[in-house]
Amino acid sequence: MTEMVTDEQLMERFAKGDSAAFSRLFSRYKQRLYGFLRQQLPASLADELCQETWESVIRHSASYQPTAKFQTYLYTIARRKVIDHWRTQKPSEPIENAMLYTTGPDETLLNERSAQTVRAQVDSLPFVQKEAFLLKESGLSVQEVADITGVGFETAKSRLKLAFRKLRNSLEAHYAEA
Amino acid sequence: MQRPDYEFEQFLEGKHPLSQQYQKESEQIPPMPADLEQKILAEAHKAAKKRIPARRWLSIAASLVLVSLIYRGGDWQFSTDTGAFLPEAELDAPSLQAPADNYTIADSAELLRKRKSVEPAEIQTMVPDTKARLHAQLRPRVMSNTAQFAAADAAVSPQLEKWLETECLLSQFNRYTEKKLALEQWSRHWLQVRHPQLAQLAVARQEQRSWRIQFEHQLINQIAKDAPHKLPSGQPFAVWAQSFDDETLSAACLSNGALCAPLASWQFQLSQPAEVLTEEFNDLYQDTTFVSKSEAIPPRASVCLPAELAVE
Repeated sequence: MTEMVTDEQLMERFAKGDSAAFSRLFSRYKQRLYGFLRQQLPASLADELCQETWESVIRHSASYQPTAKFQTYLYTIARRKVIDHWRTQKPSEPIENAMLYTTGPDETLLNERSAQTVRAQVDSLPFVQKEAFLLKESGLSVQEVADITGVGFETAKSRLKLAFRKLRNSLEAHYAEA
Repeated sequence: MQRPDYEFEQFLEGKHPLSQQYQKESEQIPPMPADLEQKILAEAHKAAKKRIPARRWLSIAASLVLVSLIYRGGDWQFSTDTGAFLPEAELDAPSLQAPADNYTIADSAELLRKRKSVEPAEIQTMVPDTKARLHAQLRPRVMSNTAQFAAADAAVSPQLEKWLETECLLSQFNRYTEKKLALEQWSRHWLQVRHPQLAQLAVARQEQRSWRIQFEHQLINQIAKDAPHKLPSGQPFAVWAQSFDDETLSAACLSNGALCAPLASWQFQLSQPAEVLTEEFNDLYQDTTFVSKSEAIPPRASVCLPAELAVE
């Protein structure tokens, strides 16, 4: 019978010096987190921010308090890294403004996704809707999306709803054209 | 009008075709590059290694404390301040029940019967340190100073005689406990090797017993200070431990407040009936050296003066 160890327990073990616990935790989330970043950023930047996110988890593991789910903790860090990245890209513009509108997909991403209809449409969403959608598709609940993005439950749900409608409409249009 | 909301609910549950299509497309996201993965894991390993020394130091410190607790039992020091031989003993004798008496895992009775003997060589391999320690403890070593002291002063006063007897009894008591603990440690190793599952289940019992031994040590040393005449000259230790009257216990509690709270728990443990599996465990150990070792520990405190000093 295999023992089901929670993410939080693994983090506590890692904080006590058990590197195997980290390996287990890492294997649970590495691809999901990488996918989350990769959807928003070009490869090299996604690699960089992914590394920074995990390094941050490692660095702060000793002070980690399992008050929230590890998943929420991890994605909160990753999201901050992405926002910091956008902030450095457009320092003059308030981040809130930048987040309201689409950030515009990277050219490389567009090329990559010519055959990927939904992913290409996701890129055209405004930042807040896009991140809500991506977090939700990473397996997080609406409440967790709200916690990570620092908004209320209803706001998160509303962002998701807007994202969903836009995607559905644009996909319907896309298929109608096709 | 209901359609969008219904679809949205489906989307939230991940059942909407849009979600499914996205998940399918996401599979095409390339995996995390291997070198990046290695970098992160190496970083984690490095961080974990940094934390281990602290943990290692803690375990070393804990081991040192444990070793000192085990070895301090029979050591006495002559204090020039008080002009007295002060026992450094930490542990006293609990009841004389074999550790096996406390294991109560009914389901394991059959398992227990399967193995009835242990080869002496096997014990040597399993716990050489425990055996060595046991032998070391069997050697008379703690009373030499007292013996020299007594020999030098042939005409000892009755008070000094009484005091020496008290110290002698305490010393016996502590040595008895050391042997008992070493035997328990041996039996624990034996169980871990032979019946790991049983040993795991027995941990709670052993912890309870350790607590009791430590508490009795404190209590008995306190009583030796308060009422040395209560020491068990020629009495079995187990009987002695149960024969403390309320007055003696209250005095010990008054002298050392830390003893008050756990007294009730200790008395409760003493009043517990014998464990169910005693018979099975006795069967198990009947042909083992456990019994002979257990019997080698004298169940009674012999009269200390002058015989004990004469031996030393």
